[in-house]
Amino acid sequence: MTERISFESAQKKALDTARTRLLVGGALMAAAFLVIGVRLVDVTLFGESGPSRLTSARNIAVETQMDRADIVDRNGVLLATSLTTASLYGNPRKIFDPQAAARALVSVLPELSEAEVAGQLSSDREFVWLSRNLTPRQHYEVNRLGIPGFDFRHEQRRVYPLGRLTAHIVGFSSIDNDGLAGIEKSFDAALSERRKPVMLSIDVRVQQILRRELAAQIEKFRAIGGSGIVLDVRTGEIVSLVSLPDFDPNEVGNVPDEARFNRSTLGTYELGSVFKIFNHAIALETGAANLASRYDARKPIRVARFRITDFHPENRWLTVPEIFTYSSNIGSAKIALDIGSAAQRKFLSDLGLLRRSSVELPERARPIYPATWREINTMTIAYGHGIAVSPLHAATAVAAVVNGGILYPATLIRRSEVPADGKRVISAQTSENMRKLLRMAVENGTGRNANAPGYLVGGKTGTAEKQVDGRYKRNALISSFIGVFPMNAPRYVVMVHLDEPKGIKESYGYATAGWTAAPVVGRVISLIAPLFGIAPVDESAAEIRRALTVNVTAPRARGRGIATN
Amino acid sequence: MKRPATLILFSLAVVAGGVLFGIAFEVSALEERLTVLNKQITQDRDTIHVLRAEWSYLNQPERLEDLSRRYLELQPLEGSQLSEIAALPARRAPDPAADPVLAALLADAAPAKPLSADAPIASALNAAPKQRPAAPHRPSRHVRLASQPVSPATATGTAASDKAALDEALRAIFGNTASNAGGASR
Repeated sequence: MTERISFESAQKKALDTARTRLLVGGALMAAAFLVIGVRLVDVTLFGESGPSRLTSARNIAVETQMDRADIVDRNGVLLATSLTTASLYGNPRKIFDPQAAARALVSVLPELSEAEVAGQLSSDREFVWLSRNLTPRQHYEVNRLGIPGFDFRHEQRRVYPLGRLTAHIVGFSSIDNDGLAGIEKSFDAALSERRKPVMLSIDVRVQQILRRELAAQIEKFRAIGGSGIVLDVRTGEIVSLVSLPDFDPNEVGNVPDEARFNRSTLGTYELGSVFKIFNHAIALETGAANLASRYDARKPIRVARFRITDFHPENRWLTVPEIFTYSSNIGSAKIALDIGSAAQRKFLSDLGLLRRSSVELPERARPIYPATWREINTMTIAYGHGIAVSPLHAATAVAAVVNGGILYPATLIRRSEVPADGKRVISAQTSENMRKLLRMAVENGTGRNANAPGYLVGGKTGTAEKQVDGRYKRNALISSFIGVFPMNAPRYVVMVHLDEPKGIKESYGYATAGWTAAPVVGRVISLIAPLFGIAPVDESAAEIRRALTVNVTAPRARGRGIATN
Repeated sequence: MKRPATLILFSLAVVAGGVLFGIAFEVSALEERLTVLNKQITQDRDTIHVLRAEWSYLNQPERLEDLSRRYLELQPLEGSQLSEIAALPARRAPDPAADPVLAALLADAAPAKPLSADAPIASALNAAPKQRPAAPHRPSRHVRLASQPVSPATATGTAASDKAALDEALRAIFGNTASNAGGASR
């Protein structure tokens, strides 16, 4: 009995053990399935935590490799881009017949010398540069030769498809893709980080017209250089900026400094009578004079060792509008005395003429003006002597004078709407009067040659003698013209200056602004107005005449400093 | 009972295996294609990039100017060439009886559209040749501008014969510059 019981218990024990093991095994299996099930639910229902890295890596084609972003004009025309170019090198150890290889290579790259290439290929090295930065066609041609031992290395190269046209704006960068001048330098960081192109406010069509006309005039009057600016008066956008001579940014290696110098933003010049625009605006704004005031312009003014004379002397009492249209220095100096030094300085500062321009170029000039502002300075600054600013300074300030009195900082970057950073510098009323004066100066004053029929051009000439070693040189002139159009609702300022033009037969020996700079502005305006969709108007129409003429029915003059009504 | 179940399971396993392999091959084929396509896209992008630079290079305004001077008879637009329809001098209504060309025009256009709205256009058409500049071959903006409203009228004419008749009438009016009237320039 005991045996049986013990037997039974032994058997039972074995069964129990087996059961327990089965249970454990089963539980493990169940747990494993449970985990799989849970994971399955997780993946199918709640998974989707972004596609896995493997697939995403395969799904996206590699973006074009670019070390620097493009630069485009306001219409998207490419001004600067980076191209991957192939550079050819040879491995002389792999080349069996250097003579034949050299002959074949020179047949597709004719600029290489056969003897030189053969020499390089016969050397005992493993790597010789044969030609850097091939064009895609040359790359293809060399590949087609099928010579073992020729191979390529890919390099990024900055390319400026429009060459000289925008050289002074876009600038250029080094072979290591560091910006060295122009937008390339001022936007260096942004260009190397972002992929989106930088869109400039420049319009290449306007740029071409301005550059062509300016270059023709420089050649005609044998000037040593010149600059041109087209500025949108409502936004401060620079539509065109030209400085001649210029250079090809694709080959900056041996460009003379003269050509690299940006006359429109880095050059400072005494602009002469162009400053009468500001002098008159300040006078009208401060109330120092009004449109009916009259000044004695019969005799030159003698102050200290200076003598202020008129270039086109009228030798009589002149009204304020006459002083402007005949460009009287004497009258302007007298107006400036009424304005006073402090007010003159304040307004010139408000107009941005005493500080560096805000334009996005590294080549920006600081204006030169007297540290102590004496009465004689006030008088000469009235007609643009004793203060030197860059042409861009003057164009920006004139835009503020004519657009209703709001100064917008000049910019080279495309703006989509009217900027909010405008600052009121003169009243709308003063601005309207200045528009009339500017129109008169073109209609029957010194700026007649700038007229472009139908486009209501207004503007002011400025001829100044250049200072050389502290003395004014009679035959070295800066002739400039600032034009605005259309005068009834100004849209663009067009400024041109020529550096040292020489008189020619056609201009009766004159090299003054009315003969040299003004015609360029007139031609440029008549060519660019259709591009901007500005329709010509009938200039003799009654409402236009009424809007743009100053009616001066002044009583007799009463001497300097007394405003008349 | 046991046997059919095993059979079904076994065949299911075989089918599942077969499908799995099929899919696996398909995926690898697709992946290969994807790689090829991606490579091609990259290449095309690079090509586009180069072509864009070349396009910009070939479109240098200076070069276009030179080409235009050599091959086109166009010249810069001048302010005096632009005008508005409203600025054209008023003209008395033309008399179809005295003008056979206009009569033909009227006869063709009348059923398609009442002519009253087009009357000023007709007068503009007639007025244009007198202001045409002397150079006969130069496509004048003035002529083109004056004739612009003609195209909608052409569109309303249903039959092709209408258009042919109009073309003929225009040719009669403008002489050899008629080809410019449609807005096409050589």
